[in-house]
Amino acid sequence: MQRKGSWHAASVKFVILASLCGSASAQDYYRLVPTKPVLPLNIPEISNKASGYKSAISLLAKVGPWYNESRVFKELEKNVTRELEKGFAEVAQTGQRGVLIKVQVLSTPQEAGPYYQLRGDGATFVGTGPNADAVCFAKKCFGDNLDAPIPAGASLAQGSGYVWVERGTKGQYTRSLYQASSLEDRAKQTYFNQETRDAYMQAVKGEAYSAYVDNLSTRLKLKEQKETLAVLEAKRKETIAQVAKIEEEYAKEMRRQAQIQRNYENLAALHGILSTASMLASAQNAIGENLGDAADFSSPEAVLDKLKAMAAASGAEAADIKVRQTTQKSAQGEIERQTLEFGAKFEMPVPAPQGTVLLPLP
Amino acid sequence: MRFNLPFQPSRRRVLRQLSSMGVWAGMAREFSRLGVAGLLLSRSGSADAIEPVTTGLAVASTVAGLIAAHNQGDGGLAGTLKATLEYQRALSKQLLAVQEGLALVVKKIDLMEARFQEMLHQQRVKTLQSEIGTQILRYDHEVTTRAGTFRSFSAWLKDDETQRALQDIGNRLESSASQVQQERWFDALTALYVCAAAFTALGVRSARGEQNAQLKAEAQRYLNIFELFENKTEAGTVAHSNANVRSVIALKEKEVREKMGIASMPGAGSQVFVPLGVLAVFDSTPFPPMTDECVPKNKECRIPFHQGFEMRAPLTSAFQLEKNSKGGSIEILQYSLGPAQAVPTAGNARKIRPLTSVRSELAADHLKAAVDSDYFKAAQAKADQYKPAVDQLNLELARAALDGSALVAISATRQRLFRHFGKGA
Repeated sequence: MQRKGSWHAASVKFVILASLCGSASAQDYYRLVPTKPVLPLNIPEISNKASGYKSAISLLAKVGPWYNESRVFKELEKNVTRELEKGFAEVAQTGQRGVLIKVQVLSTPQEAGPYYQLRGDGATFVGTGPNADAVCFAKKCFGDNLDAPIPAGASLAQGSGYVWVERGTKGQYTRSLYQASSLEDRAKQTYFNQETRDAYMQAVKGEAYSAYVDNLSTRLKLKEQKETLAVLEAKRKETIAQVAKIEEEYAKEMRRQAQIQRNYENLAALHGILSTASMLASAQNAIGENLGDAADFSSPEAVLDKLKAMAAASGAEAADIKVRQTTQKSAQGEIERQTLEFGAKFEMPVPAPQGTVLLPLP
Repeated sequence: MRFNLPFQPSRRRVLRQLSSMGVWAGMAREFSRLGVAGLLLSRSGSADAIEPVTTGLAVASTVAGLIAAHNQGDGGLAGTLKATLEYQRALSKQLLAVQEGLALVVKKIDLMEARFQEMLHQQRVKTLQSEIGTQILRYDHEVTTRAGTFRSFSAWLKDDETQRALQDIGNRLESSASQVQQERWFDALTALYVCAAAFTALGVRSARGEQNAQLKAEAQRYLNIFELFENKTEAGTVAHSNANVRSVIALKEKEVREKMGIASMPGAGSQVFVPLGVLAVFDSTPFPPMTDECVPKNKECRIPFHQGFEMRAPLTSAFQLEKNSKGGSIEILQYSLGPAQAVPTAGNARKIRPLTSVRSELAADHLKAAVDSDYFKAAQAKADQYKPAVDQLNLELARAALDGSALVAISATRQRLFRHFGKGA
């Protein structure tokens, strides 16, 4: 009897595991307060305001000892300015708020004192977007895809990090320096939890597309053009709402499935200890559902079999919900593609597939 | 095994079956008078004074069922505005019913022998009854009695004394929840108190005007505690106990079987006989029944008359129905070992030893002679020695039912918490 109970439990576990495939962690489905909510945005190490962005290098001077190396400084200043110009050209087209660049200077200890040199060009354009964290996440900046190799004996000098420059409403620029680890760690933590990754990616894309659509709308002259864009945007928002709604449905089904599984195991242990009537009442109370007519349950096994069938059905239902969600996400992607195509007709740039807030890396 | 019964025999049916067996009528009468649990008294001589431990456990199981039933449907509470007096009173009414059940459990534990009180953590239960049980009563007093003296719900809420009382209740519940976590009290009875505390805490905090985010955080505190109860890997948790129950019971059953010399345990609603030995009665009546072979001879012809008797005791199993005053019930499998019986055997009994004698041609007198013999009394004493093992098995069965019921209560409470915040399945 015990062996049979174990078999029951194992088979139900299989169903649940199967439906969890592809999900890094489903723990939050069973909580009212998520364990891993999307992390708060990073606070810059230092920040200041200026009328332009070209002197952003002055920020680095406050934290980096290599500032005093005039050769390094001048080369870096030139490269930072070049990358920012590139970024703000994109900002002007896509309507994003600011530009993120990665700044890296290497230090090699020598007898006469540290020798400073730039890592690659010293300044690498990461992307544009609503904030530094979103850009870093979209580009997966925690990887080494942005970096030139470090020569033997050298290490990153203090002051290396990310520079974020954003334009305010009154033409002022806010320039901020972030420690590399702060942006990269947050992006990494968000990325490696599937739920936070999906949620944050939706949020980043949502905000980026809103800015893109706002900017595109200023270029449209004809009423039909504005209507076309309005329809696309309405459809996009509708699919986003649908994805969120389906996610809640999925969470509910996952909770239900876990509840059935848990109680199946509990009641399987009571097999033969409680009468059929008590087993049925317990099962119904435990999962909060009517299992059917009491007359249909002639033995405790019948109650357990019913729970097992319900767990299997719940697994199938969860898989169906996931398919529906994937369909909605595809629809959202298609609408976003149509929006970009529409924007391209009005000389809006097509986002690069290497990871932008409009098209984050998967 | 015993599990594949196509029906659930009622106790009455079991008794009828037993009575129909005639010679066991005495045992059946005793069964009827005391109930299964009555037969499990560890001190049979003082049945009126001591609470059968299995009954105490069964009552606790019915309270768990009550909690689960209340939480299965929330009576539409989640659909109404939570910050209303109606909501508070409906919630309080349910909690009060649970509190009454828990108070009864405490009384039953108090009536048990010391070793069982210890097993059920009497002191722990009393602490929780004092802390959580009292807060449920205070909460009920606030929302049913005291709130009624105000002109409106908002007037009651704004009253300083109301706020002080609710805050104090909330603080004490929080303190109890923390104590459960710190002391790692994750047994079944504690689980029932924590289930009750969860909704008392939410009711109190909602009455104090806390917002949804704070209420969710409070509910999450209890969800986290429930996970600790459900940790199968930690010894002492209700889930650990539930996960190991089959092996514990299998072990107890094996002990019973080996001790009694029976091949298998009886299935629910049936019985097996525990062998206690055999006995022969020698009928020395001067004029015994004569057979054909005596006829040619004289009337002094005597044929020694030996009647064999098998001495045995019936081991019966049945689902014991336990009800609480609120309509909840649970049926738990329990075994009972009936008094020793002497059952006539067929065939030649001349060689059967021990032997006792009687002068009577009546079968009833033969049976009486057997039952009155010292040999039969020794057999009865042997049966009595088996009873503690049966009691222990029954105790484990009742404890398993309580653990399982507590897990059901936790499960139902968890669901209601999710429903409360619009996340029900």
